[in-house]
Amino acid sequence: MQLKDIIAAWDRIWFTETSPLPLGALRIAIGIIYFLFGVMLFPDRMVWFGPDAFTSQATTDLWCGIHALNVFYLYPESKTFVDLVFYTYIAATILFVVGYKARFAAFIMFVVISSLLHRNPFLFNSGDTFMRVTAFWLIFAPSDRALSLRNYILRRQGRQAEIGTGAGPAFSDYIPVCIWPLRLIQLQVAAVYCQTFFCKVVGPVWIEGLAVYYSSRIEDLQRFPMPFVFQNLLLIKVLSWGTLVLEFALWTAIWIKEFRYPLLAMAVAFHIVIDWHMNIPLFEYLMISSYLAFIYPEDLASACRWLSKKQ
Amino acid sequence: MKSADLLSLSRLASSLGLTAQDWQYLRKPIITTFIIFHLVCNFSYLFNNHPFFSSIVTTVWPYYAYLGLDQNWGVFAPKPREDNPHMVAMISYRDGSTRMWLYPRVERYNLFERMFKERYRKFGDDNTVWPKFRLLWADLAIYIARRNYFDRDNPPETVTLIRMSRHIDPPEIGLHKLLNGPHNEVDPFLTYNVRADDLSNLTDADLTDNARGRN
Repeated sequence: MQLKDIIAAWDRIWFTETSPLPLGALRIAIGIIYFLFGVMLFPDRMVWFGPDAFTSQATTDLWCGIHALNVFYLYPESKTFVDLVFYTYIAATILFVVGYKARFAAFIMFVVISSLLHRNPFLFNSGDTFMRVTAFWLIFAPSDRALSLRNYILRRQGRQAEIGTGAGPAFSDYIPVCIWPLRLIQLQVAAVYCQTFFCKVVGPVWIEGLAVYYSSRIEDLQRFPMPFVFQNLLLIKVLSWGTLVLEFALWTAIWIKEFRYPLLAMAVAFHIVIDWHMNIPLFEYLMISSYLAFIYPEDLASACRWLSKKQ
Repeated sequence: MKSADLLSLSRLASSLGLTAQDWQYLRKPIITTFIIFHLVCNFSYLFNNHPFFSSIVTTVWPYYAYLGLDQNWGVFAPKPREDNPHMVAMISYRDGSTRMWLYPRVERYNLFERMFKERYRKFGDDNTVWPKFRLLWADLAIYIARRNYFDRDNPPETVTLIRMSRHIDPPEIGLHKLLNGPHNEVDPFLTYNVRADDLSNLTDADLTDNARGRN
């Protein structure tokens, strides 16, 4: 192997051009979740982030040990400013979902989510962390180059050349984009499963196969019951070990084309079962949406053509 | 130079005074540096139990933490929670009377409300009730005192935070039970003496709202 081979491989991984369709589909699916995140936090915004919230900014700063990115430093005593931050965030998510100035919208979303974290980090779960770091990558992603209001406006203005070549079937003729932002999002998803696998595999409860037993007994997480499943020790062990195997595969085998779709199908089923049983409102759908980053553009184009014929 | 993202980055480059050729020349090194830097940051943060990676995290921490890029995916790891807690507070007033305040118990809401109230579960049951988060306790007590202040002549004097919990039975005992028993382990974990300035900026309207349960 020569240095030029390594550089060529790096170029192939990060600088190949690809259709913007996966980014467009991801933008819509994940954007709806960003929107719901804001809507669901809205009713209790003053309890968590207002001047009289459960925790003060001073306490949070002491906990975090750093004066971090946080727009609430600007007007710490203002309830109106908290409202303004939320209205701005929700407007940005709408812009993002429809696909107009999506990078700018992602920037606003990232700044607000990061500010919420640095105002009160104690109410956020892993799903929120995923939203925050993914919003950062989305700032660099040309996600509004497909399935977007931007394209609609350009088409209406007769600027078709800025959308696609016009050669080839619908949804397959977009002007290609550089793949690196999509790769970063794919790697982010893989990193989630990689670290969670290593964190779990050192825990005796997971190795003994009893983790699902304990997680199914956490009362405040329960949504719908699954009586037989969680009362059978063999099934509990199979589910605990199966979780480890699936999470291992989702950062290793997922890069192999032949395994990708079967693995994603299993992962979708896995998250839907968790969502049935556990009340973690957006996390499972967030992870399922993120799998769109792994769908090959030609398959997404076929799906879009099929859907548009159905209408 | 046909890719769409490149078109907009080229525009940015030209606004910085760079020609298209300059940008073509600089593009890959800049993006590669960005990618490698963030991959190293993320890897080091996620696997910082090695001193070398730990030292990298220390170096990049001001940037990484400032933006909020720190991440941890240890969901139910290394083990799920083994206790079912909830929190109550006992408020005592100047006249000697007391009042019980119940922190929202998500499992008692209907399915729709549970979706919106999930944050209370994370904040309370996963975090605040446990000693690791003792830094938050005084703030919480002040919040409760302010919400339970109804009468200028009878302000709250102390707030006692109490964790009620029950350890999840091991499988040998609990396998056939889907519901845990009552939370009968009682642990008063903070008694806070309310100071005058904790209540100082509350208006009469706030007190009225408190009495009506609006706050």
